[in-house]
Amino acid sequence: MNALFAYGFLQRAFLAGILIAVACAVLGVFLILRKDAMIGHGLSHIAFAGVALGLFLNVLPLAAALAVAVASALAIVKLKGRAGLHGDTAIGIFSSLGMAVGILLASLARSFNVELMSYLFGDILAIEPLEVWLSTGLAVAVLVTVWLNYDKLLFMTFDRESARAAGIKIGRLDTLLMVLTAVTIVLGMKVAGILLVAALIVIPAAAGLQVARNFRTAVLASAVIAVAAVAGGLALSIAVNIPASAAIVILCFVAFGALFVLKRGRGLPPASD
Amino acid sequence: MRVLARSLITLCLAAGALGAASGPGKIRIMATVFPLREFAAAVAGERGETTLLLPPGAGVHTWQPRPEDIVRLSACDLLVYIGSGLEPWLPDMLKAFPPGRIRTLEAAAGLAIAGADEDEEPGREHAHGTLDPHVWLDFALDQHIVDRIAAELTRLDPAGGPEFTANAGRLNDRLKKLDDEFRAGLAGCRGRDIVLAGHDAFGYLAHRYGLVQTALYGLSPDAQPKPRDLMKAVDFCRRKGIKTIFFENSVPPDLSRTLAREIGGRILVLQAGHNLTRDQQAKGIGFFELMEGNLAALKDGLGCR
Repeated sequence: MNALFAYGFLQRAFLAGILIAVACAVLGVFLILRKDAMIGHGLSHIAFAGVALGLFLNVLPLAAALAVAVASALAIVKLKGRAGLHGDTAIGIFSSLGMAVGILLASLARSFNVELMSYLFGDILAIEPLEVWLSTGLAVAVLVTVWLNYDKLLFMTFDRESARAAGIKIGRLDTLLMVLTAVTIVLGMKVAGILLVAALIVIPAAAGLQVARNFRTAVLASAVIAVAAVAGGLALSIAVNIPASAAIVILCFVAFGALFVLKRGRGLPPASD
Repeated sequence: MRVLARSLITLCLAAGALGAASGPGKIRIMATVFPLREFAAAVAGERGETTLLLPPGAGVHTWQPRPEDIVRLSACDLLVYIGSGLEPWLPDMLKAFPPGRIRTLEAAAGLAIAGADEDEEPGREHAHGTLDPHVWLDFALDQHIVDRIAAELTRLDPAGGPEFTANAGRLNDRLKKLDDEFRAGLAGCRGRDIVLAGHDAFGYLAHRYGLVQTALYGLSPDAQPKPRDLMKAVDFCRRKGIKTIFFENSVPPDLSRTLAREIGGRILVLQAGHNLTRDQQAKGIGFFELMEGNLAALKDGLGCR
């Protein structure tokens, strides 16, 4: 605990980590119930291409990743709607394309392998003050968006067709959700790395859904689990001197596993509203 | 896959043989890292052509050869490499050729013994049992390497012997001068600690001039530093009142910024010189310029008179 006050980089890691965790968990609950759990995985791999592009063109990698991820998120929404591709086919296509483009750019440039690698595994110790502010902005944006559109999002998540029939602008909400997810993934990249950031979207939300009796508590429980995993993972990484990103994801899984077993033991019904 | 690899290698060898047959009579020398290329080029002079195996910016510890690199290697008369684990990919790369097909010179081979003779730490053994391969950052060891390159070139081209020896002598004079400059320049410094937000590459240099290197990364830049490594580095700087972080560009720059921000210090760049960036290569920067730059950064950062 003392360490937290003595080192600015730890304060920034905790702060940004917790804010990102909240954004991830809240979005995650919606995404899982929409059967879009893999979108985080897909967008993170696409962001890899963005980072590589940024390094290749010598512009800010985070900005390039953001642009590429948002554009691809929109493309995935379009592809899903128009081309009639089933389930996560569009995600599968774009995530592999992202990796391929990233590898190609890395090979073409042949001079930034080291930096690209740091994005793969994350660098929670090197979070800049600006990134803390960005994470704050993101967490606020996610919470406000969900707050304002809660009923519509809920309706759409459980019954798309009826929501459409009831006059809810599904396309706009889809886009909003995807853009927020893309931004969350790109900022989360720094915390957990491209390879593990998707876990922050999926696992805490899945864990929350294990125990919650309704949607609201599912969102709340997911956020609590995510925050606990990030804070606990960081603390663990300091205490035992292991990489933070791995510790965070493993704690997420431990929470999920524990709640899964607990639910089986108690015979709680699955979440519904 | 294996068949494909085999036929690819055969093709490479054929291409290499063709290349060898049509050569202009100069010794073709390939070096794995930049300093060795510089040394080989200076020793060979007009009688040799030197190329660098690694593309600009590539990290020698993590690089992977591609088929075209095997083709390039096959067209060479001599491969000069450091050894001691600096090029972990090299044994596999050489397996692509029949044994003895590629003539090699391991620069670090005799050096551990040389170090022991001179009453220095023999070979600087490290925690994980490997030797520190960054031998070119010791300008005395460099002179041994230069002599060995001259001897090897003489074996390849006996007629060029006197020229190689003369070139090596001139190069070694420059290296001696560089060594003297470092010794004089780093004699009266306020600090003796090099806090390096990079990998552990300057052990020889630090040891030679009585400095102490504390690196955030290990001998190879692959492993990510963990929170405690960073906390320890911060504590170390605070305790010793260190306000300069040295950065070495084979690792990402972000942790050096974190560290500098934490102690309210500044960042100076040291070049281990395994390889040049594309910009540096375009500017035609040489080994001695690189090392002069290091000396200037060290004198500035350690507060030397």
